[in-house]
This record gives sequence, C-alpha cells and structure tokens, in this order.
Amino acid sequence: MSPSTCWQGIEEGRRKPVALSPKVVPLSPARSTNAALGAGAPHNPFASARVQPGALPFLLPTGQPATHLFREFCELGSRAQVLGPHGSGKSTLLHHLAAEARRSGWRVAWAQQGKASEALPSGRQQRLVVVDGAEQWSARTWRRLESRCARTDSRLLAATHADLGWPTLWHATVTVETAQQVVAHLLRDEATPLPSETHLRTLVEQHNGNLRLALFALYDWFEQRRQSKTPDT
Amino acid sequence: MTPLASVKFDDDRRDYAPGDSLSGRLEVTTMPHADAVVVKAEFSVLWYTEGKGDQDIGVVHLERLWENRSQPAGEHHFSVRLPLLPLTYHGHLLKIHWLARLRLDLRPGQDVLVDEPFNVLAGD
Repeated sequence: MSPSTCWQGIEEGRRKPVALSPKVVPLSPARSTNAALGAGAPHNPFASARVQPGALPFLLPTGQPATHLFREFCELGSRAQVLGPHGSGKSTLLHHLAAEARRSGWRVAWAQQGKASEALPSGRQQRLVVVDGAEQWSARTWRRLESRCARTDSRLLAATHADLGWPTLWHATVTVETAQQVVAHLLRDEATPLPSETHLRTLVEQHNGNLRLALFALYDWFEQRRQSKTPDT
Repeated sequence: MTPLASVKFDDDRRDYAPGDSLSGRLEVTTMPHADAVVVKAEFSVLWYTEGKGDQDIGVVHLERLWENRSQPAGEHHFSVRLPLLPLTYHGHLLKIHWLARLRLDLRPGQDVLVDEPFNVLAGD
C-alpha cells in the first residue's frame, strides 16, 4: 500500500486537527491492509474522539452551519446562554462559537469550576469567557467571575441545563432531523448506508433526546455491521 | 491535492514487531505558498486509543527537526526503536492505533500534519 499523504490543517490557536482531505483524518489515518487484522482496519466514525464537543461541527436542523449565531451573540450584550438538556449539542455550539470568536480576533478562555479567577484571557482584544456546565457553579463562584468580567469588559457565554435568566442565544433540542444531519456528517467517508429514519427516531426516543448517547449506540451498530461483513478466516 | 510533505517507511513496510526499528524518511518537497515559513517541524511516533471512552495517547518518540525555514527542507531519515507495548489492537470497545506524524508549524497559515499508520504486532 502506498503511503497516504495529504495536507491536514489545524484551527489556528486550538491545536485540534481538522481534515482538509477526505481521505485521511488526523488520528484516524488511512486503513491498514494488514491481513492479520482482516481486510483493512477501518476506524469507527462514532468513536468518542469523533463525536465529542469540538470534534463535530455544529449544524442547524437544516444541515447548514451556524455561521450567523456568532453575529447574534455579539448583538446580545455582555452575556448569553445556550440552553438545553443533556446531549443536545450545547458544548458543540460553545466550541463553534469560541472558534468563530478566535477567527474574529477575540481572546477566548474556558472557565473551569473553582478557577474563575484564572479564567480571564489576557490581551487588549475583545475577550470572551466560555463556561460549560454553568448550572454546576456555585453562586459565589459566579459572582466572582461576573465581577471580574465586568471590570475587564469580557463577555460571558454559558451552556446550561437550567435557565440562568440571561439572554438565550440558542435553545438546543435534538430532533430526528438533527440526528440525521449529524450521522450523515459522521458517515460521509464511509461506504456504510445511513441508518434508517425509523432507527434514528427509535434511538433518539430511547435516550430521551440525548444525541450523545444515541451516537454511542451507533458506535455498537457500526461495529456489528462491520463484523457481520468480515469473512471468516 | 498535491502532496507537499510525506512520511515513508523503508521497504514500504507497515507491520512491525515489538522492539523493532521503525525507519524511513521524511520529505518536504514544496511549500504551500511563496512566503510560508516553517517555524517549527517535529516528527513523532505515537499510539492512541479509539473507542467509546476518553482517548488516550502515548508519544514514544518526539524529535524537533528544524526551525524557521522558508525553503523545503528536503529529506530527513529517521530510525525509532519501538517499545514492547502497546500492540496494535482492534476490538469492539477499544482500538489501539500506531502512527508516525510529521507536524509543520507554518507562518502565515495553519499547521499541517502528515500521519502514516503502521502496526505493532506480536510475533508468532
């Protein structure tokens, strides 16, 4: 097998590989043709590294990228929330918006619970502090962070299950259409046919709208399909 | 897409035993644009996991090749002694992959990665 070579890019500042060529994906390289491993050793498109927040693009239910949401965020004021239940794409949207902010020249920092004082990005550019899992923060931690953000004119963007009373940028929900868009994206380089709408609907309902869990179930589905195609040796 | 850099294994080999020497050459043939400068170039050999759990990575070799070059660096030979573990593994819940990686930190522009997979297999 000839070596597979291509250019692959990394979003500037995020150090996270993004494939430019559909043939080779960072950390998921071309198939091995080692006979001992069977006819190739393809990767599972539903593996955690491929579906975790930041790995998947945030797609609107129409399948289009959410390029306008960053613009809307800029118009909302000093703080905004992304509201939604578990596995509805909130963290994915946060990563998308953080990347958009960096591309626009903003300084971005991710705040962790208990480390609000260290969260503020440095520099003179427009600054953004991103908080994932905002409902887990104590009131005291919030007050400290909001106070520092106000003093430094830093904007806040939070993902939360519970309404913080902030302007809502996006209310994340999972529909079958959303699941179809995400699964089609994950299987775009695979010969595997897409799961049926009925199958996806069942998965979304079984997992109470948690797309993350539905994708984990599709990990098993993909493995079982691949194993059923592997000839006996 | 025109390849600008590559990682090639000697004898086009893909399968190695634990403790084997992984050898080959790195090539940077052309730059993506006239004013591109390779601020940093690194070669690494690593394994990583894939599955339902958190991804784990182990870098067994890391080598800084050159810095601040505006012209293609040509060919660079490498030879890395592979460890005894982990072995390449493809299970249902967990997979372990090995690859050799050439990373070019370009300015202006984005970093580029060239990954070449290989297997570490137990002997008979």
